[in-house]
Amino acid sequence: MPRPKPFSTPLTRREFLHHSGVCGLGLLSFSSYVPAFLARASAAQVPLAEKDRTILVLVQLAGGNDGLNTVIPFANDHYHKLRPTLAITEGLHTITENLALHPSCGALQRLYGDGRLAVIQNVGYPNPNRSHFRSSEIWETATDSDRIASSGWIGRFFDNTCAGAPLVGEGQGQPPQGIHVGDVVPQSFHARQHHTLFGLSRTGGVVGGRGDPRVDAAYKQLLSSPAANPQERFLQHTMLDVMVTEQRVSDAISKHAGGVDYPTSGLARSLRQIAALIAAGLETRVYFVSQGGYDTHANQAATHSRLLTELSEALAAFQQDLEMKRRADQVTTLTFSEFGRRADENAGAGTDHGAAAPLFVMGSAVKGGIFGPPPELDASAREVDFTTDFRSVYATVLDRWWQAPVEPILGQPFESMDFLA
Amino acid sequence: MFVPPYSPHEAWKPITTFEWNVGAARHLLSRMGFSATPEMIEVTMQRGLSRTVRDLFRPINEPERLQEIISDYVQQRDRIQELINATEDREERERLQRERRQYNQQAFESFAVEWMAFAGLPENSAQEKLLLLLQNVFVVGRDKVYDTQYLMEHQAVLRRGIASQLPDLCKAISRSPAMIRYLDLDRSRAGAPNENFARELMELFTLGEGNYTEMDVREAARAFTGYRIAPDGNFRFVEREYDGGMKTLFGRIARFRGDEVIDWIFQQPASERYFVRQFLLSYMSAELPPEPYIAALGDRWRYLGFSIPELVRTVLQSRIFYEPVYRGTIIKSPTHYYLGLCQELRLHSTPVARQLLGQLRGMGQDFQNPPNVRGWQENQAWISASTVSARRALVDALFRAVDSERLNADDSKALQQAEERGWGPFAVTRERLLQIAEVESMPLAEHLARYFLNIQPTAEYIETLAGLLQDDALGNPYQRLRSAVIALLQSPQYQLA
Repeated sequence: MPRPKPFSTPLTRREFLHHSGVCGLGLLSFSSYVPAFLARASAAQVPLAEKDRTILVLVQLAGGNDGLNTVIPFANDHYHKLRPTLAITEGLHTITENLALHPSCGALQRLYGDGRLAVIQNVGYPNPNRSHFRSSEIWETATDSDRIASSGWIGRFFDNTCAGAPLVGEGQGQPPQGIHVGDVVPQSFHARQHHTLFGLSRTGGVVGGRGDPRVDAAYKQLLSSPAANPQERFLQHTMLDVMVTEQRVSDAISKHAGGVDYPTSGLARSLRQIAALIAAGLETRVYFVSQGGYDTHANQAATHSRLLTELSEALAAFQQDLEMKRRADQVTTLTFSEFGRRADENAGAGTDHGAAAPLFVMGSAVKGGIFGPPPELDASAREVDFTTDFRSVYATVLDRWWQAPVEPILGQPFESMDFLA
Repeated sequence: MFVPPYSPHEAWKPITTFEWNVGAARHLLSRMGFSATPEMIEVTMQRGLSRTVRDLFRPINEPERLQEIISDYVQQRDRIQELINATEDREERERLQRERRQYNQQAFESFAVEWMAFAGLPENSAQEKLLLLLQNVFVVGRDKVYDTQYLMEHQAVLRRGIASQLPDLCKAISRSPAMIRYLDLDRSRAGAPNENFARELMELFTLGEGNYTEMDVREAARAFTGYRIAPDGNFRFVEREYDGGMKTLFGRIARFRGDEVIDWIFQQPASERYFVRQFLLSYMSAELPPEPYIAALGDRWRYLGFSIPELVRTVLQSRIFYEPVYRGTIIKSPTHYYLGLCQELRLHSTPVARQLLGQLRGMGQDFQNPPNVRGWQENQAWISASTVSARRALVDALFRAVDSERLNADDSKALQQAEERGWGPFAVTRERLLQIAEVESMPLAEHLARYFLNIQPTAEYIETLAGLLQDDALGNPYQRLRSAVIALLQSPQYQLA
């Protein structure tokens, strides 16, 4: 019986086309997107400039995090009156004379003390929308609340800066520009051009791991035959990228995981993998991970406490791991949530959808401290008004962390803030 | 954007018999259900379009086995609950609570296995496919609802609703215990209304973002106060928790009750287009036709009294639905992919719940547990690196005999019981594959492409497929056939309906 052809995993799409023996057919028939890829491949191969090393990790607190019980204005009487059962008075982790972190955020308080955590107060946008989806969309697409955009702010960053980025070296493959945890590509990553994206499974590692080499060989050949309609091309494109990337990512995770002890939460597990990929020197610039459950309409206290424990401990372990792996100078971590919650609690010991809320920025390059005034509350306050537009936070990352142009990406100018040097 | 060469009014009229052919029948079947095998196409051609569509959902097929699972589970759960209430001992109580959780989990697993089996029967497929859409509009999620009884009964409400009018279905779901829990209606009372349900009712169930104000949400929330779940798991309206005051909703002031809010919402113009869009996105194309075409259909649908079967019939017979530009452009959902494979390969979906649930979750459609109240986003959103790998892994699994060594005791028992019920086979046998590949009238590669694909692939695709069938490197002729068919089912072209 003839043996199947040995079929090692190709490292690049170009190499893949070689392996498949379909170069003559392939290059022409791939013409809808190969030119961009070849253009990249043929660009000068130069080492990464310092500005191309910096990495952003986005941590989404999905559901709308209750900002007032995260960064607590404990000295404000109105806070206690608005929240007769939910106001937190004990176990506070004080960070200034008026503000304290939630009792579950001990690890974050230590990071704050070391100057590696910035708290940005009252982040939001004008005319806040209280729909989870619309407000998430506003945050992820970084548009005014009355404008709909299809691309995300990270996607536009990719469009602007990565399209011409050189391949890192022969045989190293086109790295994913963005990696997300979970099955769904976050809207932040949606772009006008094609970029290599990759999804890690929530339970750990890549999903792949194939069996029969004959089937693999057949699949690769069919995958390289040309497609007839745009949906086919979309599928083909994604599947090719997956095949090439799967191998690299699982190698990196298996080689570089370990180091510090992480808690057992899903968020911690995801951050541990991200640290491994960063340690492996993957050229990915943005990682996206989501922690859900913040939509605390009822019996909020216990749920919120658990979520913040997970968040605080996972972030601290991640930071420590990066420091041990000597990658901390490369990484800034930013949390965001679609909205904060109402200032007054509801009748079910929970809180309803609100407007602005604080967010955290963590990293060795971060200038620690509080940015922005404390939330303004009065007896009849229903929600926290924004004092910092979330796009100023993005602008700071784009400008000071990535040296990327702000206006083409955000559509209008925004002032940078001082939480990054 | 594709603009049809005829008016919005003309677009929703039935196609002529002249345009009804094998290609149209394949398109209809691949959208109406989960697959379009040559046998199904032949039957549909014989019956004709109008008869095929006219008989849809008459009657609604009831899954009796699912009813049994609910009653068995409820009986066990309530028995344990009584024991929990009676015991003073903490350890005993914890043990009983664990047991209760176990029953809930078992019932959930049976729910998944039995539903897939029911939906996979060709005679139920059109009905259950529409049910998938309704479940993706009137979303509840297992994460929050938790109790299997509520999840199953919510599905039953939606299934019965298939034959009804949308406003009536909305009223029914506002009383569904799963929905009451999922969107916090049970926390909403006079003086302290919870806005969650009222907001999603307008944003995601009936009108869509931008067609209501924050005040409409607040006022509607007051009308839905007092909706409760009784201890026996049924809906109960508690008058003293209800806010009987005047409410201002879409410019009208009245003592609205919940049902009246729904009726009044359906008087708003946006209500005739919102569900129509959801339906078209799922059944016709990821790219909607221009707005006047939506408006024309919406107008007609209002005239038809928001009848769900009438909407389905209108669209599935319409001229615009059969436009070539829309054919083969919808990416199958994971459930569609799974059941389509089973029907085309004549397999029974797996009775091993652990495996089934893992496969669906891996492909991005966790059973009864969408990511959030908006449901799954469908089409290209189904496709990412990890879901693509999971789709491939599913096909691999369907071509692998069940490995009894890797099954735990529960799995083996499930497998044995399934075989006793006459279920199976669960994996493609050599005989089955050779049977599919039997062909005389055309080259094998072309036959396989026609058998499995809803689109006409490029000539190069067929050539590559033919090459695989003759490639010595892939083994003997049977191994070549097997590898080629698996690869075909994993290829981009097979993902499309």
